Amino acid sequence: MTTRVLTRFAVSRSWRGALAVAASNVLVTVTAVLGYTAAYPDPADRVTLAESIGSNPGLVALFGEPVALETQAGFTEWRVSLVLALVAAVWALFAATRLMRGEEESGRADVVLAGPVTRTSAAAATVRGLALSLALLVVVTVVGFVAGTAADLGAARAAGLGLAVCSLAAVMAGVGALTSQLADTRRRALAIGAAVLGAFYVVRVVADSRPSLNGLRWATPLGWLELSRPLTEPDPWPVLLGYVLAVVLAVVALGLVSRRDVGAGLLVSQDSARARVAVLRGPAGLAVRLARGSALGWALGLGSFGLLIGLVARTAAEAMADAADQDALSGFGITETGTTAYVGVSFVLVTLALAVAAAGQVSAARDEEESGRLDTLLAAPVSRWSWLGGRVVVATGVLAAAAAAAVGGAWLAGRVSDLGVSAVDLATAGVNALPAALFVLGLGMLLLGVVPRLAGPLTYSVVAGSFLLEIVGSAVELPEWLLSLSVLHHVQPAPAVDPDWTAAAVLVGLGVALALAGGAALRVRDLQTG
Amino acid sequence: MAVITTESLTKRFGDFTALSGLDLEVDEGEVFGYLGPNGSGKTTTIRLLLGLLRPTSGRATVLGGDAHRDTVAIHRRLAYVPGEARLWPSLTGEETLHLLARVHGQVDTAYRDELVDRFELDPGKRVRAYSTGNRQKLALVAALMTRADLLVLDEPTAGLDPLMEQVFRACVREAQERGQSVFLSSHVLAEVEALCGRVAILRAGHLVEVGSLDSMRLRHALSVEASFDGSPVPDLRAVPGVSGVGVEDGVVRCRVDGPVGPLLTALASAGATRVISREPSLEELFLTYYGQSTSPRDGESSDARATGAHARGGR
Repeated sequence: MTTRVLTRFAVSRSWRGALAVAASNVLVTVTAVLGYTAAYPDPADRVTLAESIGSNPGLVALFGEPVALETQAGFTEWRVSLVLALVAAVWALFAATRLMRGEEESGRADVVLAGPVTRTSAAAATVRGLALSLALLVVVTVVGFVAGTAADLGAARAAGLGLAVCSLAAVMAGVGALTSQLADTRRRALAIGAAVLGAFYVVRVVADSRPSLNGLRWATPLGWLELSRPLTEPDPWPVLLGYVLAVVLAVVALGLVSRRDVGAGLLVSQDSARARVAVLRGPAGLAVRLARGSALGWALGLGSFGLLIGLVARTAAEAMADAADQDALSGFGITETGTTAYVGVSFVLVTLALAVAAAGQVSAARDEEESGRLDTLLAAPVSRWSWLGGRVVVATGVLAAAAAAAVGGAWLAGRVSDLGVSAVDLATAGVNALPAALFVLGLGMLLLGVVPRLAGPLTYSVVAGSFLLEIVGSAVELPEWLLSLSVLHHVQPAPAVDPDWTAAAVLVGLGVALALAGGAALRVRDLQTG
Repeated sequence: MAVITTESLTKRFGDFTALSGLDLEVDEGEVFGYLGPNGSGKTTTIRLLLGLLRPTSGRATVLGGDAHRDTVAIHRRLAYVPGEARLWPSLTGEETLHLLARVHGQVDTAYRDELVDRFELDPGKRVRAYSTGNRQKLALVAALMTRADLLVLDEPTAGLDPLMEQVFRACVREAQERGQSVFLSSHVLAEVEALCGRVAILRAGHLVEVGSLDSMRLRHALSVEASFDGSPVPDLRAVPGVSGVGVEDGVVRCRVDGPVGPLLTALASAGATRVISREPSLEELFLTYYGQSTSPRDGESSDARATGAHARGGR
């Protein structure tokens, strides 16, 4: 009986997210299907588009190798499957680490484990809850796909696309369950899981880079997704493999539960350490120390991404010499060609990543308050302003370091291969990627001041919503006012297009104003722990 | 001079009143005990005093400043220990002490080292590797090392073993000898009895009693036990001032409030062979206010009196 309560608890904490991800799956896919017919009514246009994208290693590297782009099915498959699978995967990783490690880290799990349950059965109950939410994701996605696109794609294939898109989420839920056994904090479990997902992505890029390496697609779940080709040449086995792996990971994770202490992870973290007190001079210094890990993670991730795009940019640019590429890139408002255009598109993704990092910083600030550690600081002669100010400055530093790493990676790649984009242009692209993230940071601080308990989730939602608007907006015509709600909409893909410094200044200015308002709200409200 | 003054301090969370019209005064140099059952508003009071919560109405003055407005100035002269230490798991003990010393701006390093020794702390360990008790010790050292004028302690010894409890008491006495003031919220009655000159008792957000322990004992019912060898036990329930009467094996137990004359007369005329009376222990006082009878035999709740009691002036 107790375990059923745990299952219900896990479902209650994850079903909303599952539903939101499913809804965005359906929205994006339906608009992509409808948008394709509207945007390319002429079969000749479709063939040109197909040739330009299909022969463009840069776009292939970012989004995977397309098949039959001149058909509605082929275009939809290429357009949505990777992006949607990644979004769902990120949600699943968050949900799994929160339920499997976060509960334990907070000590709440102790109460449950003192009851008439074994640790393995309690963990299994949580995994069942997680699986139920995943099932909800799959069912709503599949039903939505069939209802919305069966007329164009065929019911069976639409359903197949739904299953394929959700398979990566299942895998990452399993990965999250496993990393929750390895790491002793939710953040660390999340970081290891994110690194795994990043590695999947990089291996997939390598596998798609030349035909001789295509066999590597079998090495990662992202490759399986590509191999399954749900809309063009359906092969159910790779998708099935994904779900099987998810089950295997969950079983392994459950097997590890009893091999460790409650509250501890299997990865031994050093219990003792030499004191390093150089930066621990005050609240800001503490923020530096606490942000060190996430700064390193983001810098490493975006640095590798910069390196990767720098390395494939030349070949991509050569393919883009085709005039028809204008079409492929017009969705981004890019009129230029060459490596500059390619780097411009890639840095849109850097902008998105920085916005996610900004939301993470907001969430980390709220963690300090929720855990009561902020009480400890504020009981000392530290004003709320100086605490928040320190957090904002350090978060800005984290974002700047991550942007600099992306620039540095691309620059380094340019030293080895012939990138043809000047260091100044790269740096400009890096700077241009920051204002949106700074706006998100400022907005998050306002939310922290006004609705502390919701600050983290709401800030992430703003970023996810912006991304969703961008994707939908690139497929179908959306009114300008709606598009302008997306924070990403106000960022030009530099260096392909000159940065809009006015918009950038407005974003930063608004971010600062919102953060100040958040500080004022924080100053007069009650601190809310737990 | 008062280090803490509250005037009609009230805190509501939505419909729930956590603290209602608290009037309190804590003098410089005293160790002030703050008692009350779980959920009676002790921690709310402390979070108000620290400026972490904003009063719904009323005000709190701490070390001469407004608790909510002048936090930074006040906190330079104050140190706080929460009931459950909230520290950064990735920092080591030494790093934590360094950080909190820098943040506070005032630290007696020789005393810090002495405290680390006395509390038997291993400062090289990371906070996440500490047991609950060790974390609590770390928080105590961090507060005591500042030699702050006012120590605000919220059930600071939760999780400490008896040996460490003794070290803690010694430290509080030393602090008092140095002229520091201490506001001690506690559940450990022995600790309060050993350390505090005056105590306040809180119940459901209301202050029900303030005063020195001695005066509180004087004001409260004496416990009386009388033996009657063979002779019939008199009915004492009608005797003025007597309550909580219980009879067992020729022994009558009761409490008496106010003058003892009428009770003594009744006992003497009934031929009592032995009469024992004693002042209530802090535990009995405490239980009276918590709304329980002092002995299971009494069968009479002293609830009515506890709720009817008024907060008596601080001095």
